[in-house]
Amino acid sequence: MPEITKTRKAVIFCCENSSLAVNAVKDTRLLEGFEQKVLPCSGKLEVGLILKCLEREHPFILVLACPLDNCKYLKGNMRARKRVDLANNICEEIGIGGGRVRMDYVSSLDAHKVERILKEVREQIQGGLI
Amino acid sequence: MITAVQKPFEEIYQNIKGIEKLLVLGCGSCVTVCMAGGEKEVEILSSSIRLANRQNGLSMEVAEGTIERQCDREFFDSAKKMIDEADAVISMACGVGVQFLAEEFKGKVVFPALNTKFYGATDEQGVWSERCAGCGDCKLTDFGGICPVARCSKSLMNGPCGGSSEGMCEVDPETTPCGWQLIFDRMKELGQLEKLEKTHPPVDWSSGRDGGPGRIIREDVKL
Amino acid sequence: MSKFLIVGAGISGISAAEILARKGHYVEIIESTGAIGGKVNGYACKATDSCSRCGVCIANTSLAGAIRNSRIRTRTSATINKVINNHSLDVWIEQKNPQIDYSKCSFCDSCVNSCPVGCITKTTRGEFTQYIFDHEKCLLHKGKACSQCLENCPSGAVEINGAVSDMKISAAAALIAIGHENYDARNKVRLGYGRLENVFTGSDVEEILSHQDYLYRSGEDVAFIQCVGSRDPEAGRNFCSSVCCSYALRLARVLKYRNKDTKITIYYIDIQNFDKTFTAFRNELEGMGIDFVRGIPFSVERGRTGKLKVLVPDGGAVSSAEHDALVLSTGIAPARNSDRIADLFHLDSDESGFLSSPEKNIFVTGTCSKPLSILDSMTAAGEAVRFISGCGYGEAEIPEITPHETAFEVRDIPLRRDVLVIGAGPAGICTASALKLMGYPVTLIDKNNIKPEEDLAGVDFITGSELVSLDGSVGNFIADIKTPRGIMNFNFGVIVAATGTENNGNTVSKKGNIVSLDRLGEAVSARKRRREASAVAIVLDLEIDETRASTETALKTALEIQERERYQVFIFCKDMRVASPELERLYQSSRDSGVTIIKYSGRLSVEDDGSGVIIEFDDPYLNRRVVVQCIIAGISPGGIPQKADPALMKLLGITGDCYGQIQENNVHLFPAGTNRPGVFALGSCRGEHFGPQILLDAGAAARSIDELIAPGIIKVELSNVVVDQDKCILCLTCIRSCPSRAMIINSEKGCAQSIAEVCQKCGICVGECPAKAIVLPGYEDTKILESADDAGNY
Repeated sequence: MPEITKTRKAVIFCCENSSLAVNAVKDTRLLEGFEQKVLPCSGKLEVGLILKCLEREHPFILVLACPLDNCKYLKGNMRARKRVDLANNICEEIGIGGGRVRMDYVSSLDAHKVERILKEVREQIQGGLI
Repeated sequence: MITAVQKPFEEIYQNIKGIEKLLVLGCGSCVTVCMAGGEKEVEILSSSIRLANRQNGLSMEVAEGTIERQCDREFFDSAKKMIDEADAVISMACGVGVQFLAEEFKGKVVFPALNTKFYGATDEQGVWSERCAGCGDCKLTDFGGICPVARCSKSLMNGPCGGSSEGMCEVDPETTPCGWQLIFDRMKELGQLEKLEKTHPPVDWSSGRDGGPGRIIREDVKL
Repeated sequence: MSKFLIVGAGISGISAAEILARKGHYVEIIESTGAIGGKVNGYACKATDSCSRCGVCIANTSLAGAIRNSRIRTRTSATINKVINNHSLDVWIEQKNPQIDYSKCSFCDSCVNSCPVGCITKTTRGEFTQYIFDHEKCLLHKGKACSQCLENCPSGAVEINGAVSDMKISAAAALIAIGHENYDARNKVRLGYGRLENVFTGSDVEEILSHQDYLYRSGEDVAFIQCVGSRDPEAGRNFCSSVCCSYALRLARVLKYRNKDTKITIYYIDIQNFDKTFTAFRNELEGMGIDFVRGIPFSVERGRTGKLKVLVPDGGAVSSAEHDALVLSTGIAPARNSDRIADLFHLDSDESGFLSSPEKNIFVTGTCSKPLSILDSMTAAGEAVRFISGCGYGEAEIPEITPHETAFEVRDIPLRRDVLVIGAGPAGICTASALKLMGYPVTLIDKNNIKPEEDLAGVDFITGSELVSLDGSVGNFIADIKTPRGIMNFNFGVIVAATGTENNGNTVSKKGNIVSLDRLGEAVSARKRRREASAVAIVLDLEIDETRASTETALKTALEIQERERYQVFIFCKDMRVASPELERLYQSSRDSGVTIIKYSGRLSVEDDGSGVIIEFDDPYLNRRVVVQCIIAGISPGGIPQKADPALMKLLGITGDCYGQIQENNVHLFPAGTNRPGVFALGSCRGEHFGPQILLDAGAAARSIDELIAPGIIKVELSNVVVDQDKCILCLTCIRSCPSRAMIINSEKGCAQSIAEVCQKCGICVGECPAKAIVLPGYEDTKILESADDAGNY
C-alpha cells in the first residue's frame, strides 16, 4: 500500500456506549494518534462519512459498536456492520486497499479489548499504512 | 418506479479519464427510492472518485449535486451553473435522465453511472422486483392482475412453458417464480379459472418497444 | 414522601434505591465494604461479537445513575450497630470517613490528586465511576488531621467528620439486600482450590477476563466444573444456584472467542436453560467446539505431566482427563455478615441461609433472599419496591424533574392512563390486576371466550375479542377492537401483549399412543388396566431445550402417574431444569417415588407402533443406542419451538427473536420492554413460561408502566430527528428502518416526520435516508467531520 500523509489522526467512530470503553483505556498513550468521533449510535454512521474522512487524509477508520443483541437501539450495530463492509468494498474497488476501515464490537466495559484493538490498529498502520 | 443499480466503479472511472472538472449529478426521484442515484449515492460516488484520483495522482475537481428529477427540463435550472462549469457530468439518473440531461446541455459530455433495470416495486428494503414491461397494451384484466408479459420470462400469453417446475421458472429456479403459476393460483383464488381457457392471439408488440420509440401526445392537456 | 433504609449497595439495593428515589422518596444506603456495586464490580462483560445478556453493563449504568441521584445517599465502610424497630425504625450506624456525596461530585479527580498518601483510587466501569478510600493508608485513620481531599474538592462532595462518625438514621422501612458470598470452594478439598495452582473459581475468572484474554496462558486447556456447592445434599446445599450454568457457559464462550485454540470442557450434571433462545446459545457453544461432559469430577491432582488430572465418574467406571486450568463454578452462599444482619433486623433464615423477614416494615431482596442473576435481581428489586409502596408509607410526590441543561425546547405531551392488556392468561391477568390496584383504567381482551377464576372486578374484561387495527404512539394509541358486539374504538396510553404462543412449530405428530404432556394423565386413565406394570414415557427436550415451566409440568405429571398403581414412569430428557428451589425439591420427590430419569444425548425418536411407543436414543452412559418400549408417551410442548402470533406482532409493530417470540433477545429490553415505546410483552409470548418468573416480570412491567403514565404527561426534549420537507421523497426508508417506529408520514406536509415522544435519537434513519433528508440535531455531517487537527484546510 503506497504511503499516504501522516499528518492526520486515525478516526475512531464510536457509539455512546463504546466510547465509555475508549475513555476508560488505562494506557492513554494508546489513544495518541487517534481522534474520537462519538455518535449516539453506530447506526448513525454513513458510508459517505467514512469516505469523507479518508478524503480528508485520516489514514484509518476504526468503528466501535456495541456487541450484537446489545445495541440500545436494537439494530444500529447491524446497520453499521453493513456500511463498514460496503466502505471497505468501495476502498478495494477504487484501488486504495480494503483494510482501511475496521469494525469491532465492544461493550462499555471492554476497555481492555479496546486497548488490544488500538494496539493492533497501530501495528497495522505502522506496519505499512503510514 | 424505474429501478436501477450502480455500474461497477471501474467502468464509471474509465469514462472520466482526463476530465478536469466533473459534476456528479443525482436524481431525487425513482433512483433515490431504489437507493441507486440519490444524494447519498452522489456523495459516495464523488468521494470514491476523489479518493481514486488521489491514489492515481490525478487532479480533478469533483462537484456534487442532486436535483428533483432529471426527466423534467425545469429542474435542471437549479443545477445549470454547476453543469455549465463542468467539463463532464456523471448522471446518476436512469437512462431517461442521462439522455434528457445530454439533450438539454448540448456539447456537454454526459456519462451514465447507473444501469437502468426495470419498472418495479419495493418488496422490502433492499429488494426490488419487476412488475411491468411497458408493453403499451395492458392485459392485466384477463390475468387476475398478474402480468404474463412482465412476470413470465418468455412473455407467454397462453399458459406456462414446460420449464415451470414446482412453481419456479426454469430461467432462474432459485428466485424467480413462474409467472403462469402465479396467474393460475390467483385466478383459482378468484374462482375465475375458466377465464384462462380463452385463447389469446399473438401479441401485437408494436404498441410497446417494438413499435419504435414511444410517444404520447395528449391534445387535451397540451398547452 | 418517606425515607427508606437499604442495607447493601449491590445491584439489588441500588436498583431498589433508584426506583424509590424516582418515586420521590429519600433513601439511605448502608454498605459495609468500601465500594458501591457489590459483586457486580468484579464481573466481566461476557460478550463476544454478540452479547450473552449477562446484564453486567446495564447494572453499571444503573449504579451510575443511582449514586448521582440527590435523593439517594450511599454510606460506604459503614457498620450497623443497633436497630430499634418499635413505632419507627431507628438504626445506629458507624461510618468510616471520608465519605463522598456523589450527587455533588463532578468526578474531577481533585480528591485523588490532592491526597498526600495516595489512598484514593478511582474506578470506572462503563458509565459507573466511584472513588475508593484505602483506610489503612489514610492519614485521618492514623490520627492525623488531614482533610486535603475535602479542602480540594471544588463541589463540596467530600465529607469528613472525624475518622469514624456515628449517626442514627430513622426510616419508615428497611430493605435488606446484603447479597451473597460465593460458596467457599476450599470446602471441596479434593477439587484443589487454594491447594493447586491454576484452579480458579468462577468469580476469579470473571475478574481475570475483565482485564485480560486468557486465564494464565494463551491457547490453554480449561475445564469448568459445575455445581460446586450447589445441588449437593452432602454439603447441606440441595438447591440449584441457578446462575452458575449461565456464567460458566458465557465465560467459556468468551475464552473460546478470544482464542480459538483454547480447549474447553464443561463437566456438568444438568445444564440449565437461562436464556430465551437458550438452545441457539448452547448450539453456538457446541459449534465452537466446547465439550460438554456429563459428570462432576471428584478428584483433582497435579499429574505427572504437570497438568491438572481430574477423575470423572463415567457410567460405572472412572475416566480421567488432564487440563491446564480448572474453573470451579461455585454457587451462591450467605453473605459474610448475614448472621449479624439477620440478628439485628430479626430476619428468618432457611436451611441454606437465605433470608426472609417476618417484620412488616423490613423487606428482603436480592441474592440474600434466593439465588438470582443480575437481571433477575434488578427485576426483583423493582418488585420489592412495588411491595414496599403497597404498604402505605405515604405516596411520594412525583419529584419535579430538574431539566438538564439543553438547547432544545422541552415539551409536555399529554398521555392517556388507560391500559390495554391483550391475553387473559396468568401474565395478562396479573398485570391487569396490578395496574388496576394502582388505579389505572384497564381493558383486558382475549380472543377466546374464557372466564377467569381470579376476581377481575374493575377491569374491563372483554372476551372473544381481538385487536384489529392500531394507530398512534406511546401515550396515545388508537385501537380498533373486534368484540362480539362489533368493532369498538378505544384510546390507550400503553399496550401489554401477553398473548401466549401458538404451538404451530409442532413437528411431532401427536396421535394414537403419543399424546401431549398435558393430556398424558387422562390418556393413561382412559386405558384398560393391565395386570402387569406398564411403562409410561414423558419425552422432553425434543427440538429445543425445556424451560423450568415445562420441567415443572413434566415432574408433576410424572409424580402423579407414578403414584398410581402399576405404572412406571420414565422421563427422557437431555437435562433436568431445576434452577429454582421448588423444582429441585420436586425433582427429588419424583425420583424418591420411583420415577426413572433417563438422560439422552443427540436426537431421540418416538414412534407409535400401534400397540405402544418405541423410543430410541443414544445413551451417553452406556455409550450405545437404546430402545425402550412404553405403552404411551407424553410429549412436552416446551421441547418444541413455539412462536408468538406473527399477525399480532405486525399489528403492534413489534419485533421478535430468532424463535419468533415477541421481544428481541436484547438485554436493554428486559424484562418486559419491546422495540416500540409504550408496548410491553409478557409471559410465554416473549419466551418466559415459568409461573413465578412471569409473576415477577408482570410486577416489573406494571411498575414501569406506572412510572411512564403516572405523571399524565411525557416530558420530551425536542431533539428528535428533523426531516427536510423539500428533500424527502416519501421513499419510506426511515419508516421501515426505525427500530422504535418513530417515523410517520405527515400527509399535510407530504414528508416523513418523527414523533418526538417515540424517537430515541439514535440516528439510524439518518444513516439510511437515500435523499439525505434527515438530520439528527447536533450530529450534522459538518459537525461530525470537524477535526481537532483541521488546519483550516477543509
